[in-house]
Amino acid sequence: MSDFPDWQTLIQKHLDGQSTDEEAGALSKEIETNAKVRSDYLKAARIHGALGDEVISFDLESTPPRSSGTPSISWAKPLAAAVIAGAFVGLLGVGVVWAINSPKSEERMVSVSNGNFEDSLGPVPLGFPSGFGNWSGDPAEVIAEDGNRILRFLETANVTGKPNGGASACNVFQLIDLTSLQQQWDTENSDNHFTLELSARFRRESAPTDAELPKISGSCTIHLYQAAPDSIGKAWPQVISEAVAIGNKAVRLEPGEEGKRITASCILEPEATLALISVNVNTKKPSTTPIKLGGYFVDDVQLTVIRQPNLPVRVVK
Amino acid sequence: MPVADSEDNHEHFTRLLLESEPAMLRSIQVAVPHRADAREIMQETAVALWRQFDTYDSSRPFINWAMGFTRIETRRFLARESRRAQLSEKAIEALELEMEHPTEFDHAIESHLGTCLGKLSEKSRRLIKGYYHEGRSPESLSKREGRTVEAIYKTIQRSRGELQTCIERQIRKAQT
Repeated sequence: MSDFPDWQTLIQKHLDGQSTDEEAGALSKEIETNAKVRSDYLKAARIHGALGDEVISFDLESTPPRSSGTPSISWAKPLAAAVIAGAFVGLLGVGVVWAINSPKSEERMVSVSNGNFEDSLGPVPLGFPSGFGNWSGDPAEVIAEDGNRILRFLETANVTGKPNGGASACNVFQLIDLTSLQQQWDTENSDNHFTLELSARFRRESAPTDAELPKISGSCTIHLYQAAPDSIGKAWPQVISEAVAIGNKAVRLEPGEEGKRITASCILEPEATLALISVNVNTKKPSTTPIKLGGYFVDDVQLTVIRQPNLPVRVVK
Repeated sequence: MPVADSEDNHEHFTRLLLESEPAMLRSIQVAVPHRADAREIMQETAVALWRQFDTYDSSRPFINWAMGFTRIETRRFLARESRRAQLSEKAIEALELEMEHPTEFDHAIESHLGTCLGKLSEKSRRLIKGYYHEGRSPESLSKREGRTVEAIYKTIQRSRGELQTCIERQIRKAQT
């Protein structure tokens, strides 16, 4: 029996480029052997393709037609026109639309376990993670909101549990194994260079302690280490000085302000064996006792690796 | 019989390609669902077809000739790109084989998609329009709608599932 019983969901994810290699592999096997899944895949792909072909011109501001009302759809051919126009421009020497092949970068998602927080609900385990693939850290909880689950930062703490240790921030961590990624992309011998990007979407709502925390900010951080996963927490925070690479990005939001996605990046050095990623809220207020938060939220944590050719000039964001 | 090299060649090629492009794109998107990637393959295929157009035997259907190029360019793309997870070669072959025999569902899409789009909720239709028609990314839609990227994906995926169910229902209704 397969681990992926919901083939419809997996098919839909795959059509949007959201499936992992493992999921695509499982789906492939099912397509090869299961006529129903094969038929469902083709139907879903046809709808996906047809929606992309169409110019949907129904008025979205008006009441949606419910009975016999049919949105007017014109079956346009913008792609073919563009292809042909481009073909003639490129092939007849008027221009070089396709002849210029700029060096391409490649992006790939690195699996962050429960990065959208949809697979858990309630308090996040306390303390530093000792193994791969789990969120844990300072007091925070996953809540359901509008059909989605998001992480809420509850209060600051000292993640090591050290008495009278600094407690000005709330950090939630996850350790990610990089060894297979490094092998797969052969980063040590590659002529390319590699960057890791950690992004997350932060949101802030009003909370009773807002007036006391004028400098509070949200951030995401990525640390790379050449170490065993259980060694990081034991040596935290001194171990930070041994990080192979560090990236950090912060955002300061006003209560009720529209949420923002931020991205931290760092070079993926070949010797790094693990990434410590974290989402954080920092009060910027020296304290050794917990500070109540409650208004900061984060969702949709994603980690991406980008491979770019080594060029005389690097593209810098 | 090879097509004669004439000034009409461009027009002839354009007409044939326009007629065949929807089926070619559908075939590409089965293996490469991402629209921008599929369009890139379509461009490469159009270039390859034009370069080889003098070898085209006009006594045979253009679409059959073009589909061979589509498969080659799709395989080339899959071999060089690894940005997104891919189906296996065997799975793609199985799908391509099945696509050679169009089903009632294939024919029904053009007839019923408009009706079924009208049955979606306003929120879902707004997202479908943004994603497909306006070419917005889920990230951009997420900002516009004030929802998470994950929620945007889920709504779009659920809407496509609803469209499939609706079209199947329309087919059954037409049969009774």
